[in-house]
Amino acid sequence: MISHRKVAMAITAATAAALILAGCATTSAPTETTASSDGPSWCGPNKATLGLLDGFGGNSWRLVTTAAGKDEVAKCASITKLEYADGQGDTQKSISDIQGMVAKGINALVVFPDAGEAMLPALRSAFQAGVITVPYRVFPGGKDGVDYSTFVGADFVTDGVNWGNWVKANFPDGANILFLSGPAGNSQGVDERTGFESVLTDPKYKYIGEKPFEVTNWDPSLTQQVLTAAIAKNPKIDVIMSDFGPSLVGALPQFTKSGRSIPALATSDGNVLGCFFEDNKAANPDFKLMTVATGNDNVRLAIQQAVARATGGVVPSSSKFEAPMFEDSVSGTPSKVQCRKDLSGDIYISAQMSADDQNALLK
Amino acid sequence: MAQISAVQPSKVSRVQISKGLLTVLVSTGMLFLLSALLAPSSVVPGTLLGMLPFAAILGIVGLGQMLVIQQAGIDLSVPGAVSLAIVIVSHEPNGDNSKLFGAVVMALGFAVVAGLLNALLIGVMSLNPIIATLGTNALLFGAVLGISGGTPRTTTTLLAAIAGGISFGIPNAVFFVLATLLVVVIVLRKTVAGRRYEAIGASAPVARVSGLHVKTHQGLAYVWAQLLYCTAGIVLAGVTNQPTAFQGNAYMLPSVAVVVLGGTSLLGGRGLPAATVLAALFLTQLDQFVLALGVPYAVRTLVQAAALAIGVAIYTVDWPRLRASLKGLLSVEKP
Amino acid sequence: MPNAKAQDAVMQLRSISKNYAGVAALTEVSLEILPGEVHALLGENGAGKSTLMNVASGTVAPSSGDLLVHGKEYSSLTPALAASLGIAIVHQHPAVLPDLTVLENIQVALSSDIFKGQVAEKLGAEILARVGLKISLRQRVEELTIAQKHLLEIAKALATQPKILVLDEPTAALGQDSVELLFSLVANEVERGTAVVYITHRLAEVRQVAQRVTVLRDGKLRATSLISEITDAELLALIIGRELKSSFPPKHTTTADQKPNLSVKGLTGDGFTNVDLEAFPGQIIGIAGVVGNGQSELLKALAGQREFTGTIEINGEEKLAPQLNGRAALMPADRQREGVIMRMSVRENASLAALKKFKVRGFLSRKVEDSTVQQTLTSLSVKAASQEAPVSSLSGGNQQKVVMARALLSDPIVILADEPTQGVDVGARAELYEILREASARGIPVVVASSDAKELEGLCDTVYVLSRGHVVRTLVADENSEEKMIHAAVTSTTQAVRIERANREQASGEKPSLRDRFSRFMKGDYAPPALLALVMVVLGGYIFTLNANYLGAFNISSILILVTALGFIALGQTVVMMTGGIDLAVGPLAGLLVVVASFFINDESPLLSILLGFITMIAVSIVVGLVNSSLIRFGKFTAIAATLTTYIALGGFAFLLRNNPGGYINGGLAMLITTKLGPIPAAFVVLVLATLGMEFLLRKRRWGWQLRAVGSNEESARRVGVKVTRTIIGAYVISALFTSLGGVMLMAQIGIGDASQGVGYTLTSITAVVLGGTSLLGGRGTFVGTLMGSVLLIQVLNSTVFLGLDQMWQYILQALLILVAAVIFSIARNRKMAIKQA
Repeated sequence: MISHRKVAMAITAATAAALILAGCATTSAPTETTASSDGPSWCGPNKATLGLLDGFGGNSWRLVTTAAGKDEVAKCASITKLEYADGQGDTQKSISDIQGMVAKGINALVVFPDAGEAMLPALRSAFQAGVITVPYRVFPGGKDGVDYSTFVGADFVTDGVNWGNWVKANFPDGANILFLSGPAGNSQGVDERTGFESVLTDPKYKYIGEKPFEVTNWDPSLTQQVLTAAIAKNPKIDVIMSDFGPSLVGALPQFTKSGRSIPALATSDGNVLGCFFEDNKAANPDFKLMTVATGNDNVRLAIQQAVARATGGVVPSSSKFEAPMFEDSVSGTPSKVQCRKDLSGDIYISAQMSADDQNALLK
Repeated sequence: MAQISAVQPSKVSRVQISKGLLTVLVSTGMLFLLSALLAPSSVVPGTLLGMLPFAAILGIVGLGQMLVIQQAGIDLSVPGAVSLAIVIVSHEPNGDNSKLFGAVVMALGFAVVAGLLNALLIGVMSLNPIIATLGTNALLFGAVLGISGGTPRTTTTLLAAIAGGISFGIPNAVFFVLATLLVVVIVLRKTVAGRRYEAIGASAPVARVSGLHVKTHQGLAYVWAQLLYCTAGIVLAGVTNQPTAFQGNAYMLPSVAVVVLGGTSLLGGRGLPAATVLAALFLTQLDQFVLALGVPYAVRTLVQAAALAIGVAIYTVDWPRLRASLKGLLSVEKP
Repeated sequence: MPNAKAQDAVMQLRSISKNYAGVAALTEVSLEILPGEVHALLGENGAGKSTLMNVASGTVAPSSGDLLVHGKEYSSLTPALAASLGIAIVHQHPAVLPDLTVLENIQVALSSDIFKGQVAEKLGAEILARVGLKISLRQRVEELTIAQKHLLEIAKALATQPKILVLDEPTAALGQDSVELLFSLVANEVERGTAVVYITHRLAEVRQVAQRVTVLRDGKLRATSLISEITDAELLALIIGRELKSSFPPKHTTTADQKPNLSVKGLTGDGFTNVDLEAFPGQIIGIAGVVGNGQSELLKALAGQREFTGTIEINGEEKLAPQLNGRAALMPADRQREGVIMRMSVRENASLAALKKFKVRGFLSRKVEDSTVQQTLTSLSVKAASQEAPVSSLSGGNQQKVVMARALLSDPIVILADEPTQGVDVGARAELYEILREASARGIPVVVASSDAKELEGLCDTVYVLSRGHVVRTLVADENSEEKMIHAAVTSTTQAVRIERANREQASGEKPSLRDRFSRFMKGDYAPPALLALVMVVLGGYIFTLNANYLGAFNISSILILVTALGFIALGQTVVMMTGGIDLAVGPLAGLLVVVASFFINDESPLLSILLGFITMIAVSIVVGLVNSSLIRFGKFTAIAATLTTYIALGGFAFLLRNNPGGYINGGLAMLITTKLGPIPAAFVVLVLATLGMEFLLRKRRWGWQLRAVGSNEESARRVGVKVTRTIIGAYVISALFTSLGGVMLMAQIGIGDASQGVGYTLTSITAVVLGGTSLLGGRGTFVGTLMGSVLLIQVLNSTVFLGLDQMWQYILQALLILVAAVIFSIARNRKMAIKQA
């Protein structure tokens, strides 16, 4: 089972991380730039071991995210061991991974629960066994302090709001909007929809295609088929919204093949998407691109929460990761569309980790 | 019983249409007709251009599975094989077009090794195909993860152009499947080894009595199949811009389905290459048609299941007998 | 005709006729079977003896006529009905179940009444002792020699204390001692008042054992007489006497000092021994004798398709088996199965052995092929609509000509024809004889085996009569006559010769050596679980040394919970696999059941709703099991096709019910399901008990034997009275029910109705079952093995985390586990898990 939910989660996490980066870049972040010899404030004195678990680790986004996580942990010398496990999209294995880590005696777990609520019982049992349990990005149900230590979510509603605002600004006279997300019913897509629907209330904004979103499972080849069908069915598409920008790249040429211009995209970032824009913007007059930062760095906040609790450090006040806007081809703020042609398409420029470091990872 | 005339030299055209091919042709034709009537967006050139590459890829995979099923086997290593090919041709070049050729050769090499492993386990050691190919599949995924760490790369532009491009208004993938089909048909019908292979599939006992090396051919089936899966994977990597490491999983069930729908019996027998490829087109278009109707995902799955059941039933149920017994049932009530 | 008092007759067959596709196997044959005597049924091959007795024993229903048994009229019988009437038949080909032990074979064939109040082993030993069979009850029947299998069949028949005992060619496979024992047994039965019908073609036996004899010929009754009132000569005359006149081409006159083109010396193989043949250019050699006396085996050996010792020289050059195979043209007796490929065209059949001839620049040229084949077909006067017509549309004679065409086109070094005119009409026969003569005239040695003595008389120059694998008579030139052939065959007293693996017989009570015990264990069903247990202990021990937490309470209980879910599903899969089937739908079914449960079994649900939920789960399982098995038995789907369809459909239904994950499972209930006793989950204990219970049923109860019988050999199972369809339907329903237990575990594990869960169980359950040593072909395996397999799989999953292994290794470990286990079991058993023949 390919958990595309995880891919999207990962991307949203990267977006969020980039937001934090963006945020940190502009305001001095005490957690980042403190030069105290003890390390950051969330790093306490007690020794502990940490486990980082993915429900589905099999794409470049996860690779970058995991690297971001390891990078964050390295800042705290109290963590004596860091382990990693990948559920490979198999819920059974994910559950077994959690239980294995608990059994091994790991003190803290940071979990990306791709399977959603199906992971709750496992998380609960870990928490009840005395392990610091911090799920992040995908909401597994349950309550903080009861089923797990705390949930470090990402604000997908704000993503949706950001998209909505951009559409409003760029299409004042209305638009036909097509929205693609991952597996049927995933909470990320639902939240995003809540976000942009709250902004685009005017009936001149029409939502075409399946509601609440076209199901793509975040599978690029399925995305291609779905988008192809949607393009054929709808002669006028003004905006495509998606929470997995890079997956669109394979399908977008469909417009050109049908003799139409690629429309505006409100989505999440990725180097391949940025470079695609650069390559095609000349031939496609309607092509505009706006991205929210894909959230590779969501994991950093989750790690901070976990480490603080495990080592007796200062628990960060926020447990929600926010993804700022990243690129806007129209206004150029906060940034023009970025493309590093010299690097692999599978990197995420919005992440805290430098593009060159990410590229080295992919070698 | 005895025919009247002595045997005539064949005046029938060289290209014969078998019952299986006819059934699939008619079904596909009807499906397109239905699509045009009820969901016209699914037969618009744009949609077709997008749908055909995936139908083509499924067709190539189906041909490989057909070669195996023809010999009363089954190949569960499709997911691993396709995924490995994808991973190799995207990971090794890593965007560098000049490395593409080498990557393709490497992928084919792995395919041959995997096929030989299957052939050894099944042909020589007479292991059950289900177990053997299950094991090989796991090894292939091990290789997938070992080479890529689970993260494939974006396809090289060269591969995207070759496999994913369009020539003369037709997606290149279609040319790939047609070329593959041509090769398979030529080898099966026009070479000594191919004709023997067909005979062994149609009746291993007769082949054995005629002195053919049955086990060798049965084992080699798995090698040919792997080469086809590899080809399909390479094309898929070109068509999909960012394939994932487990892309092959989606082709396991459909590969068996299209072989069955194409009229090849799971118990072994004659393979119908053209019908199999056509069945791939049928199944892909069926999905597109249902998608265009706006039907929810669940119903799409049920439609697939129904299509499979009907497809198998056409060949397995003894329709004349059923009709006769129904007639008998109805005629019992006599006033 | 002696007058038998009709009331005395135990069974009367009245005017029985049986037609097979227009060919009359029996024409209005009436027979009376009296108690306390042996009634021999004598006749040549194709006389109808076996068919008549198959009607009598319910194996076959007559086309017309009826039966009178114990005074009651029946239009036809079934095996079960016949058994209940006290009719026992020992078939020519034993209806045994190879995967089951000797004792189990006995138990499944006989009704449980016979075993009431007795210790099974003791009764089994007695049954075997009665026929002098010195084998262990625990041996698998597949290891027995043909002779031993025959004796077992006889023993089974005797154990039922039948009123009518039918023996069909019982001495065909028996050695001298056994034959004598058999005769004494028959005598005992007669004394008891049993009616014995003894089918044979050997006059000597008839004299030795029977009181009354009936002669059949060409499906018709020729005569019935008391043995004392008829002579051998008269009997012979009744047997022989073909009315049909075939014309034969002139024979060959040998010129002096010609060298033989075929010279066979001392040829010995499975089914024949010490055969010498000699043929000169232009001659046709005949192999005579009743079918089943080694002719087919001999011909196959001459074609290089069977092992042999001795020498075969063709045109002065010695040829070994590989050289013969492919260069010798064999026309097999079983034309439909081994002679022609029904689905293919005339041309494709004819050109099969000569494909290399049609190569033009590397590829096959249709033009060359068409014209070459055309030539041959014309010269053979094959009548078909066209070359492209499917061979199934041709008459038997023309099909045979196609086989011959293939033979001739291949430029063979020798032509071997086994029953060449079987099922061929008169006109075509003459043509076939001409063709054989022509081939022989060209210098190719031609060997013809036939059960039609008249045919051999007319066609061949030299005839060798085979009986029980020995050449008992050589008839050269003028000596060649039908009468002499039949005389030689029926008066032969040679014993069966079978070169088989010598099986060490054990007298009961003799202690088997340690080596024997070990070898028996390795071949047994419990070797795989034992091996698995060893691997588990070693692996577990190793990890424990790395991290003591491995055997801590938390780890043990979490592993065992996962095992319990997989284990239940795998138990169900095992049941299905025992019948030779497979159930691909278990995974999606488990997921669907959880989704179904998520509607009824929530936190606020009243008790009634919860109960309803469980009932619905069970109902859905039963329906799915019925659908699967109906598709297979009535829709004639293969197991894979049927369960694949269900697999897809169930996934769709699950999503139809719940498009998104929803419906939290009642927390309290989930806790209850996962209750632990110390580190051991209670549910796991239930699993273990279930496993042991199923294992007991499998070994010691009728249901278990019947289940394995169906998987071992469906036809034999049917013949011994097992209701095959019912058993298979039951198996799939049970599998679905076990899957529902797995679903209950899954429900507690994921805690929510999620339609995408559970799918993976399909392949994992199959893997667990196979690891445990159960064969995919059916007939053998253990539930204990399945349990072990499940534990090992989960243990490996868990190990990768504990060992911190790269994800690549998880796949490789899994692969190695499966493949190494499969290969080891295959080698250890010396029985390949081969592709099942359709």
